[in-house]
Amino acid sequence: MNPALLTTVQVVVVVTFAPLATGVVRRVKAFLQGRHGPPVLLPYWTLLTLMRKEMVLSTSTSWVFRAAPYVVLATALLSAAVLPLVARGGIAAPLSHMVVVAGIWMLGAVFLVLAGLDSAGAFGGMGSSREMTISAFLEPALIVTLASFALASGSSTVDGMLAIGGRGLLSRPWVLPALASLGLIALGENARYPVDNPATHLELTMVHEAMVLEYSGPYLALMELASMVKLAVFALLLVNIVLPAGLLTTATGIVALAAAPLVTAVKLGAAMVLLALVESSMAKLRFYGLPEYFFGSLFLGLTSLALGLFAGWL
Amino acid sequence: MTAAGLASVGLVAAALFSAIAAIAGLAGRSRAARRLHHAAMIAGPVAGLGGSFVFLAWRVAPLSLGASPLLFHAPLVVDRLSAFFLLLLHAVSLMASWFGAKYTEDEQDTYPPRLVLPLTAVFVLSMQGVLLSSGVASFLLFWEAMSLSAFFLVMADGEEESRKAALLYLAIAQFGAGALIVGSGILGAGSLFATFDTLATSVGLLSPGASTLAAVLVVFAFASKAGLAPFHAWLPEAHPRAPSHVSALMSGAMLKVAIYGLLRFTSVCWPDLPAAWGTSLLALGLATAMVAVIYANIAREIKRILAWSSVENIGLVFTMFGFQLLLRREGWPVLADAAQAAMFMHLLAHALFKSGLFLGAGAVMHGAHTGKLEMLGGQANRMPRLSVAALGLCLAGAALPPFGSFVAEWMLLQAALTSLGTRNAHVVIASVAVLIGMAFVAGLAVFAMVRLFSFVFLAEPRSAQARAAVEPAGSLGRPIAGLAAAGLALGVLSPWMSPLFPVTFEVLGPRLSAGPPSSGPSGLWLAPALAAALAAALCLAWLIRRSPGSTLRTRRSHTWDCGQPIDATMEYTATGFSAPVRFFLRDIVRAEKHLVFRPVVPSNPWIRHGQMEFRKAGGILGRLYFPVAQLIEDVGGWLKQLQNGVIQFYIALILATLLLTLWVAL
Repeated sequence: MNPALLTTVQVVVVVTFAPLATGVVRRVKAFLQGRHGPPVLLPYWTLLTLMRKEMVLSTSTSWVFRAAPYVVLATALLSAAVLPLVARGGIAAPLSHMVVVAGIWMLGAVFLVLAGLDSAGAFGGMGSSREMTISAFLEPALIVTLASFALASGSSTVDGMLAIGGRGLLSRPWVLPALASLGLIALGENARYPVDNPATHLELTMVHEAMVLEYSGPYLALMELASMVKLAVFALLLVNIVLPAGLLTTATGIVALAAAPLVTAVKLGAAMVLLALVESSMAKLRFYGLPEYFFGSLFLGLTSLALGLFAGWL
Repeated sequence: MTAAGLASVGLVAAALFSAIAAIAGLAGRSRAARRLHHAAMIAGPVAGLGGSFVFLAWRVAPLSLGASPLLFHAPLVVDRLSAFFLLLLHAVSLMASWFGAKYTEDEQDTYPPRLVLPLTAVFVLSMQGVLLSSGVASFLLFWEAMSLSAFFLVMADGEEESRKAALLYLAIAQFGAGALIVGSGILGAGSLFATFDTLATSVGLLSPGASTLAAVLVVFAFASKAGLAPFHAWLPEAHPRAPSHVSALMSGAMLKVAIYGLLRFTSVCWPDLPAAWGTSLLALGLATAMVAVIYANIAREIKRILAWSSVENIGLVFTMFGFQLLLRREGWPVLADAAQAAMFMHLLAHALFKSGLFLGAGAVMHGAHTGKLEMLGGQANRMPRLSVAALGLCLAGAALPPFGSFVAEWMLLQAALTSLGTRNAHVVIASVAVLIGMAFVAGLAVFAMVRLFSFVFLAEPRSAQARAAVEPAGSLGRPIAGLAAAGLALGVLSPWMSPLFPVTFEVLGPRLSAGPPSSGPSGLWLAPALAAALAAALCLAWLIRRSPGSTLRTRRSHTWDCGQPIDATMEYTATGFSAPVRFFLRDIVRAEKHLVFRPVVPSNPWIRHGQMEFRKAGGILGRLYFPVAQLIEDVGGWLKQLQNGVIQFYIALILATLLLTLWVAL
């Protein structure tokens, strides 16, 4: 199949299913907590409703506040285009270089933070300060973790790293701590438990929701869509490392195209059920307890890297 | 005219224009003289930029621009290394002079033009001289002129603080210059009139011990000038005190001239420095960057933050320098070339964004009359055009895609990743250190730059003067926008920039096979592809926003604050914003926090006035410099006992000296 088509299909599929993933995780969490929970398709309606609603912009804000939703969504879309989520070897795959991916995610985080501060409220500032801290201190863990995958696979693009996914992990068991570390980073980057709680009734305790508090209408929809896409991207990436089956490549025929949405939906669903289980079985860390979390993640990545280097020597 | 002729004309004209500007500046009281000065200050860099560009792009062979007895008969020579630094210097000085033309006129009361104008011209001229010198003596002469003109410029506003900062700077600069003179004396076998060509041969005749001593002295001299820890103490004090366009020149160009000196001397005298040098410089560089980036998050004044960020970036440059040295000695020339290319890219990127940020700081402080983050804010609505340029510069300073500084970091990290496969313990450990250290610094650099931009430009202004600020004049804003655009272009167009670099300019491909011949396909073209992909993603986001059925109706209202009217006192402060950094890294920062509470009513301990005082512990000055100074003073006091006024004791000393001399001589 044409590499350009692969990337296009991937972006369309990921963006289409991203709200569903959020719906599933909410529903499963509600079930685990003994509630009925909202319908799985509610996030789609939320987004569509928000797009039709009149927007209220704070008088304190500047052009940065109006530019941020576009940049945040663009970085989420770009990471959905370059990473191996639905297809491998797409036209954008060479851009999945680990440094570029880290840079793209950081760019999105930066604009979220700027938007949070621009609203001039205490909530936005608080959320921004926390988000910036999480992003900045997770950076070494992210680089080291991806470096151990790079060492294992001999490629510094995430697309190439998937060469060791699935069975390859078993022959290189030293990558497993890095996989665990990537899981911790995914929770931190997506503002999920135990770093952030996406569903309290108090913005004071939140990170992501505190930053987007002043958004409404279509801009809020863009911000929400961006965070949904980012969650789906991380979930699919983690699933694909463990189970790279069903990915489209340039070699697969056009028939496989029909199966791709199904495979993606199953993978996303499984990841979301797992996420709901994780989130329902642990408490949120206090913010000043996070250094241990960052350090734990860095330590896991470094363990992998050190073991991998030793394994290479033997 | 040939390319060589064009290049030499451009570079000579650049130096002559600086000299004219210096003379015109001396008559700074007359308006016409000031006009002439500003015209020459802009014409010079234009000529120099053209000259060095032609030299680099047409790959002209090393060129002699002529000798003069005033410069001890050593000719002025330009080669690819100096041409690269001349390009950098003239790019920075063009924008700084353009900005300075209006800035110095407006700030006449703070910075006396009769002092600032000629000194700035001398400062630029001496940097041009350092880069063009082929002889040690003229190099030292221009080097001293550069240090001294910068010294006077730092205390141009005549304030007590500035004078203190300038003296601290002068002390360290003169210490470094002394080391450089002694080092070059050793290298030239006692003569300071060697040229770099003769130095290369005379250094071979030195004993290994003398050669190492000279290397230590020379590297110390350049490292202290560039601001490598622990010799960086002067930088965050001195750079913020100078007029903003001079701060831009100091951080953007002067630090790079120090790096040029390091590269020139090491390449001429010690082309085979041992790997241990690489490791030590790498370690020092990383330590510098890590400590400096933490302080950049704590400082609360725009130009101080920028100065700390300069220390951080110089640390990164030394990291890259040490890393490429180590790789070369351990036998990985392809990887060493990649790390070296990253270093040159970073030098250029830092020169552009840091001078832009200093000019931006000048423009903001000119409009809002303060540089304190806690008094600023809301400038994006008051200075929208400046804020766009400043955001670009801050993103470049945070090394985010698609700016040139990001490409530099990417090049280095790719080299470090590839080095993981070398199976050489020394190299592998260094690469892991580079990966972790760079990621730590990159994360906190983003934090510092976001904090800088947000608390100057976003939300509500925190003081009356910030509320009253207006957009700076176009002649102040345009150079800043130009530097932001240049930083962006450096990243987006990096594949086409390779002729400008004096080294092999290659980005390693993503495949991590470290074998010297097969380093994989070039990764150069990925930078423009990334920029194109980002633009496409932005278009897609815009399309989603404008999808059918969505509304464009908007209404303005105040920010929600639990039903209360909102004002600037409810905003987050810059100090509060970086509180997690201070808390998480409290063992390094070692700040002291004092809380004093006084009950309003003696009977009720809960209703009380609170006062918080936050003091940074002594820092490097208190922990290293002052103890050393105290030690010297103590030793001096102890030695003073010799001078006891007893003539017999003095005669005994003379006799002892005589006997000792005889004993040594015979």
